[in-house]
Amino acid sequence: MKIANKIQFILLGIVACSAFNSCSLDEDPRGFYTDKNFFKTLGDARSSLNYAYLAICHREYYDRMFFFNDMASEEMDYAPTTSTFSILDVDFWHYNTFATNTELEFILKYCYIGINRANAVIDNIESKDFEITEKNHILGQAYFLRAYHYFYLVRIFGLVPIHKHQISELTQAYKSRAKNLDEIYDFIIADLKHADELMRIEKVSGLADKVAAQSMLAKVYLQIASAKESGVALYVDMNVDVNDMYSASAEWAHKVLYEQTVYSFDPDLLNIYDVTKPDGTEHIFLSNHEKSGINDWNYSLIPKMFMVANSNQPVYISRPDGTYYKTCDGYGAMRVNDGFINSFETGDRRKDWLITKEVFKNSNGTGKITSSFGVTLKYIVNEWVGTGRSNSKPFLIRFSDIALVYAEAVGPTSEGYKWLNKIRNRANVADAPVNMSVTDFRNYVVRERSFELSFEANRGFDLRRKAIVTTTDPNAISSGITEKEAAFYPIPQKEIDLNPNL
Amino acid sequence: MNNVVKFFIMNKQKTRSHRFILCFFFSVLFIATSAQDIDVKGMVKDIKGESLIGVSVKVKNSNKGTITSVDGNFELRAKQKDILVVSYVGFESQEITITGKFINVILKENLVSLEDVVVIGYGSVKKSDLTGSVSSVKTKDLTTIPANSIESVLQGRSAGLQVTNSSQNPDAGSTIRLRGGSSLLGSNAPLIVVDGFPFGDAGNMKQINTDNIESVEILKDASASAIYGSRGANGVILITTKKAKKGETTITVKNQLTASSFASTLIKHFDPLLMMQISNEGRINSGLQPYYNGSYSSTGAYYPSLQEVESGAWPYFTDWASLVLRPQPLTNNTTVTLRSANDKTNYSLSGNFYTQEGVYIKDLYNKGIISLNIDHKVNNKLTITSSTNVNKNYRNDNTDLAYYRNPLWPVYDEKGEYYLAGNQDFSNPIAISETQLNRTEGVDIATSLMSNWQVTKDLEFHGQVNYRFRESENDRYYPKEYTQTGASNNGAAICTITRTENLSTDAFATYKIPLNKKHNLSVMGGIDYETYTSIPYNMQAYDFENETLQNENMAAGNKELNIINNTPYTQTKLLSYMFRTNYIFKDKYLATITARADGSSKFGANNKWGFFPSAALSWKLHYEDFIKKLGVFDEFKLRASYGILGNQGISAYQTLSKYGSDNYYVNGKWATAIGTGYIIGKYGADYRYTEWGGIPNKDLKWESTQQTNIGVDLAFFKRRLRATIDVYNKNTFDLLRQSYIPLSTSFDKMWINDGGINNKGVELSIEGDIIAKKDFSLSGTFIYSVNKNKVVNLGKSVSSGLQKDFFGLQYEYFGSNSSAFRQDSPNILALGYPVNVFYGYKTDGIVQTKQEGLDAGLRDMYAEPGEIKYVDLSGDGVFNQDDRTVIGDPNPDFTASLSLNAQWKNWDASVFLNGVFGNDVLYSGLTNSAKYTPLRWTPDNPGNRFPRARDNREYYVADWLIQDGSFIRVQNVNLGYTVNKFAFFKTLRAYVNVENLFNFTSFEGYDPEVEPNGRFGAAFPRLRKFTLGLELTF
Repeated sequence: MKIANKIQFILLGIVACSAFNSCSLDEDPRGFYTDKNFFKTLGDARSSLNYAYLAICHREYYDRMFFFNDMASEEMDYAPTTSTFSILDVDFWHYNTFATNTELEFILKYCYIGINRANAVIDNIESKDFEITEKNHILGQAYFLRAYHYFYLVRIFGLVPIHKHQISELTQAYKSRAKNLDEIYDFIIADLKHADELMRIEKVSGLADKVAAQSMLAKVYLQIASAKESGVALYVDMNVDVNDMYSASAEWAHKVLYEQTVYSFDPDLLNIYDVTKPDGTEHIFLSNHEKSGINDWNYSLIPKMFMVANSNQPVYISRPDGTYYKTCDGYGAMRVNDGFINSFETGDRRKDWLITKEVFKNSNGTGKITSSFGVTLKYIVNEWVGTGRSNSKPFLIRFSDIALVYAEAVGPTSEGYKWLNKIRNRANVADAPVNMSVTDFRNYVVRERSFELSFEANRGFDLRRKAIVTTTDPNAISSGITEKEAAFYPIPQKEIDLNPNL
Repeated sequence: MNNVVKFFIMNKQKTRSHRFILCFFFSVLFIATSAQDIDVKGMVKDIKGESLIGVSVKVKNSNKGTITSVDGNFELRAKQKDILVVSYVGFESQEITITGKFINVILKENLVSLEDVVVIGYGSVKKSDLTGSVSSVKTKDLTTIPANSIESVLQGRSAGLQVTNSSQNPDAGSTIRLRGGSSLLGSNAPLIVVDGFPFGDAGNMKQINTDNIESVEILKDASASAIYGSRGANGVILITTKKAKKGETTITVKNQLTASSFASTLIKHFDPLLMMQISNEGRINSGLQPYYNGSYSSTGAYYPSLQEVESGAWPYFTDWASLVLRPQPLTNNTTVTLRSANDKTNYSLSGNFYTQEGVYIKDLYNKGIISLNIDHKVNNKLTITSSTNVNKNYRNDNTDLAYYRNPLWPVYDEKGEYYLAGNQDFSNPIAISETQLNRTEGVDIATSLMSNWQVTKDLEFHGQVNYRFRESENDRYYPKEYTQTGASNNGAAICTITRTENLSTDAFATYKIPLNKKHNLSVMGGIDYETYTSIPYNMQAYDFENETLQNENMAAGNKELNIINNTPYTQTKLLSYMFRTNYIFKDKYLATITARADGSSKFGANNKWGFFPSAALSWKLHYEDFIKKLGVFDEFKLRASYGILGNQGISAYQTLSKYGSDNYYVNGKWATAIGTGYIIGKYGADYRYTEWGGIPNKDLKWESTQQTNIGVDLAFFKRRLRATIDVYNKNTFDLLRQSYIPLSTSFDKMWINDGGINNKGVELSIEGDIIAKKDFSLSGTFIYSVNKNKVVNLGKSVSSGLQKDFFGLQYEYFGSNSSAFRQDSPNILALGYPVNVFYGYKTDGIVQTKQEGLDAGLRDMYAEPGEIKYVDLSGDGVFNQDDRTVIGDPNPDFTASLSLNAQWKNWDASVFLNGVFGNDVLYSGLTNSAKYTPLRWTPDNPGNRFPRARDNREYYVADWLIQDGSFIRVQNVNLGYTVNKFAFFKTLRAYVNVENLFNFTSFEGYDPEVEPNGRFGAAFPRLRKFTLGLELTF
């Protein structure tokens, strides 16, 4: 009896102790990072910045950059056989479908993903007592990225809500739209100027630096200037002077062209598009993809978007030097239009060298794959993993882009002509006509941008800021939309449904 | 359960609480002997010849009586011509007139006795005193069915319990639903509890040998399940393992040998020319070069022309199925059990070895189980029990081989190497079987220690500590030559070790409050604490120079490509207090109140605790005079219950902000990237789009289910006909689901409590002992269940991101993508519809002319003759996503089963029919199966059912792919023969069992028994299993 009772009490004791001593119901995070255990070191700061850069690497971001610029313009159309109706709706300007178009949801979401990640860096690093130059360089990049994404959003959607801080609970979710474009652009410009002050010039593939911030400022001011000048909706209401804006653009572009030596005009056209040379002097800002990556945002599938299909077997294309370049086949999804190909001047290498309709199955140039559409060769790769994971990168800011921004901003001056012709001559075309009027010159530069920056996610934005969508893109013309409708895409209905303040 | 009662009887001096025994005890004291009395001896056995211990033997109309001893003998003094009443719990009583000095009595078992005791979780009650809806399944009838886990054989055995065995791979589990699914993203499986140890979700209890299971109790209504509170919403399955019977030592050897074969014909190509012709047609119809024209494809595979095959110039026609599939996969199940018990100690030791061949060659599953269970009475108040179950399992997974591979390809090429059709061919099944590795080895150890302390006759303490450790190691190697993964990584080795631990303790006390005879009141209070931890260790190595070692030496891979990962670590904690009181007045009016408070670590600081109360009332009408007068009812018991149950079936850490981690390529190397937002899912065609989460919800709380149940238990004709009817209404609210939040937050979804699902239904079970004679008996059970499921609320609908279609239907996609369709899941959640309804297009046969196609609003190639004629439901002249509607419901209208058992002398036989009625099944194989492509539309032979052959056609979810999945299956037929006292055996039994003898269905696929989402995708026909069983008891 006694022994039994002892055993009984011991057992009950074990049960009771284990129950009461360890009964805390708190959760201890293990194996993942949270706001509690992160942002402690400079290394954390760098990691969080890398995470912010990654937003652009997602296909929902960079594929859509092509959709809203190159596809939604006269340059390209999408494979008509796709089952993704939402892409065709963008291509053909089916305005009535835009409210529920998933492509627009993607670009909205991923811009804000970039913004929230940049906000997280800014909110958590600003007050930290880290080594100051490194901290500033990191913060500067975060400000740059935030501005980069807002600039993207404002050009796509116009008035969007501005989130200035990291979202850590739902109460922060219900922001209303910015009052006007001034509010958004003031915020973007302030961020970029702040970024310019904080950063140093340091060329690292995949990261932005001071020159990138300056380049963006030039682009932002040009956007405001030309859009207001062209009478684009909302921009006409902006409380700015068009000429001041052109001057500001020229001023910042000047810094890029003349006040640094790290980045420069690359005289070799093919060099720019050589995937093995991401450190080329033209590349002010490149998003980074590497073929050894695990996910489809770590590696790149960009070449697949453009190249014709060949049952996952390599294809060969002929190069100017007479050799055949082996590259991976694709989906044949984004197709260069004949109308656009024919609009190049004769001998323009940007057509002759960088667009083709001749793709071969064999390395000796036999087994031609008949293609009814043009293929851009700006993203071809010689090395890939599997069926086409590659290093190909979207060109986010290119030196020539800023040179043309500068030319457009300064107008038909000697400086303007100098940079315009430099770019034309590199492509083997003659100097631009002399003595153009300011308007003609600027329109000429915009046209030149379409050749130089074709398939680089540029054209759609140019058409909008110049209010020439409905006079340029055949699909826009046949859809019957107005220029005012074309100026901005509507904020997705899903977002409006979810956020009653919109 | 009988054992429990027997236990009480056997220990009459010790268990004074039992009223019956108490009475008897007094009666024994007042035995008066008389002069004419003689000594009468006898022996009591059951039908099988096993001695019965503790049987009451009384002289009618006297106080004289005794009970049988350990070996079933009794001895008392009585007069000649006296009548002996022999009664025993669980058996039919007998009256025998004394005519000699020795009397042999054989008692027959009473199939469902009122005195049966059922386990109800933290205690047990007499079956007759149940107030909630609890159904008991006797496993006696089920042990002849070969099974890896108990759940699979529970199919059709209990009203309201739906068991789906859709996969036929070795060690595959079952999908269990009790009274319909009530949770969207949480678990829908009932909780399974083994001897008081909560094991987790029901579905695949393969670690317990089914032969060791004595009984299965299913707690269905709120009153019964509320004692498991936050885990009771889906019902509870309680498993009680076998214990030794007192006073005997038995050794039992059981063996089952099962041979399986397909119950229907395998679908494959028989005619090479027809196959080639269809393929060529398909290519030409989509504007492509036909393959079979005697040339090389772009991947370098030679496709012979029709002439070459016809003339025999291309000599190969491989019957892949015969090479890849086993003609008769075998299963062998052997159990050896030793059970022994004396006054103090009772133990059972059993060993089990189970081996099962899969349908595919080299596919193999083995498991061995050793279990030891010891009960020891330290003294007359204290009992200590320890049980340990050790399971070791092994699986060589060699499934999903391409037996449907092109029969024109040979196995080997002329060099004797595996033939590959071009450089992108990764489906030579023989090459894969020989070179690919996918092996899993695991251990599963569960051990419990419990003690029962009978403090006074009215007060009892119970304490229990349980621990379970599981570890499984999965090794995979993908060779560089024959597999896609291997080819793109130059050899890939993956090793994953998963370790899981459960620790739980509980303690409770039961107090029978001594009141006067009319009142019977008992209360139970207790505490329970459980923790669960799991962690995976994942190692990956790629790029192997030499592949001989596969993943035996992963360091041989390219070091730069190594991947190591040990997340996600999960730990959850659950602390509970439970309370139950049972009150019985005059043995007629019964009431039960149950409550449980649960605190779970998974929920937000504001909502850690949930309270789950329930109440039940019951009225034994058959004790009322006005019912007695009718003389019809032997039992007429009304039951009503109401309660609230919970579901906490979400992953841990959902209320914390969680950062994502990734890699960004900076300056020529990969750098760590960490920040706000992590990937919570993928969606869209090919899962190409990513969903982001990580925003915490500090208010997250339990999912709650309110359940009302009204039932009646009836018995007629001296209990030979028994019926139970239950009607229930289950409302689940505060559903744990992921709601969309504004995109501008950068998060797609967060966990919230929102929405509701209703399940209501009727359950009927009728049992009858149709014939009950000494040498011949026939009994049957009929079970019928209806469950109607409906989504009644999806929260704030539009503002939570719900989609709204052209016809105003509010819905969201539900479940995983289907590879047959390049769109989101074919199943949706739609307001006002059952969960999982099919959403897609209506069709109207086949387009016969181009004009007809264009008129139907179809475009391009989809408007050509021979294409599927989709209906432009929205009437806008264009075929697009606005034309979709609900086109089918995979939930059955009702399920029913019938089992018949017969016994004639030493023979026994049983038949079990199981049926599911009115469910729709999505058969995507209609688009491409070798059985249907020959029936395609052609200009010469235009049909109106199947479209023309065309490659690259995208298929939409449509009604022409949906079929009625009703079936009635002759699930089991069993015939056995038992001999008692044969040679040196106590009993010897042999039987044959046929599983899936025949299936009556109009469904055209292999078998309509599919997962709750109604998608049919079985790779091969259902197996018909022939089992030969032998049971020897020494």
